[in-house]
Amino acid sequence: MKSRLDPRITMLFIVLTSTLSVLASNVYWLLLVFLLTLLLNIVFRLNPLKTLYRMRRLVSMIIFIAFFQSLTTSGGRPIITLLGANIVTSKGLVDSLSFVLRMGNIMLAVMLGTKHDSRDMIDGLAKLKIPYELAFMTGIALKFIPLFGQEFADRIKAVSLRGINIKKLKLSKKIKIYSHILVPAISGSIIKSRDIASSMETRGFRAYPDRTNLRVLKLKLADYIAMIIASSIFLLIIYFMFARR
Amino acid sequence: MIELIDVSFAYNKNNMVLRNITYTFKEGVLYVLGGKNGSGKTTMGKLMCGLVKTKQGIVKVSGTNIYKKTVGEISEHVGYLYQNPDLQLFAPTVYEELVFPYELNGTLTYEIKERAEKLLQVFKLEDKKDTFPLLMSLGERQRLALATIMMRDTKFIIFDEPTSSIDAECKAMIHEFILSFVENGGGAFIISHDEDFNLNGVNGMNLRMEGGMLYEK
Repeated sequence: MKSRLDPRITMLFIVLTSTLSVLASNVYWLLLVFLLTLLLNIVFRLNPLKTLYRMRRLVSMIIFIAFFQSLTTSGGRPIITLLGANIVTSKGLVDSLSFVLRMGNIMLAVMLGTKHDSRDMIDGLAKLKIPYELAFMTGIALKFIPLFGQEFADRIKAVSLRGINIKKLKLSKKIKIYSHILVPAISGSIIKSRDIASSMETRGFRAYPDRTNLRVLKLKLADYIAMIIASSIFLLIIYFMFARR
Repeated sequence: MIELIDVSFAYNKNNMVLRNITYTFKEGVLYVLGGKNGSGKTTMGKLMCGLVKTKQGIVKVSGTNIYKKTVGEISEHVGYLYQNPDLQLFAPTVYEELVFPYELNGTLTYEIKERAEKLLQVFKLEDKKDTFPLLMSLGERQRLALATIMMRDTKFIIFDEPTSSIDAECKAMIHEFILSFVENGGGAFIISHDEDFNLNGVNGMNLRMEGGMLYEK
């Protein structure tokens, strides 16, 4: 179900929560921001577990980096020691937890945008005085990400059909095969983009400087209330985060 | 030989694409499968070579359950020609396209190089040997994709709409190749909207997919 809020308000939520997760300097603030974004996801009727599943590859990479970070960060109280060497310290643990919360927060924030279709998001960006062509290109680019992923997966299958077991290849050969896959996948996407551009030109895109819209975005009372609440919470958190240090 | 035993398949709970299909595809026979768009023709082709897997029913290739094999192992017996040949082309030149799997696996021999040269002649691509495949015409790319399958000495090939969007000359060449492949003991399974695919005297069978079921015409 689409969000009833104006897409500009959703964009504001995304910007504010992402900004807070970058500015938050300690794990407690990060946890608070994470919980707020999680709450927003629930209010927007998004299922965080589904998000975790959809982004499982990214999540496993984040966890791997966090684990590696916990092993390589020194300082703080030793938690796990092996043969006299500190393997995991309290600072390493806190730093890696902060990293997981920060990345998790950005992921949840981005998911809020999925409650609007790309058409709404483009109109929203245009209303924010972003040049329409730039907003349109961003929308198209976002649309291309899953297509590109699917094309890449299909090509991996096609490589397997040629009798190549990628899992069993040495790293140097794996790199070679991925470069073989990447070149046509990218050139295929460029060809598709060129076709879309030609198709749009033939349908009159860019023929007139001013555009008209069937549905004009207009902020409603609920949007103003949401904007005031979000901005107030943002400023309060910033105040407590920095001014009271 | 490819056997489908009580195979059903669904992309999601509410959309059953194939229903309880039991059928045996033999070598030396040309099967032509027709049916409406979205009737499950391509899904069935992909099931037959392990590109798509289902837990409902059994698919056997040369007597072995395909779930016990990787796609690469299955491809020793069954080749698959995509509707879009670009999905099957990776290398920077036409010649490398034919030999690169052997280079990667460390099995490139003089015989393999000979076979690649011969296939370039068979598919009239010898003058394109050093061309970047994606810069060739669709018909040439289709022929190259077919040549890559033939490099593996496959006994059964699945063709997904092999002659759609190509010119009459190329269509005739691919048609002729399929007939000669079947005459020489290979099995072919063609997914096609061309209801009147000319079987030209070879041992052929027209099939139709409707409502998730497979029928002989």
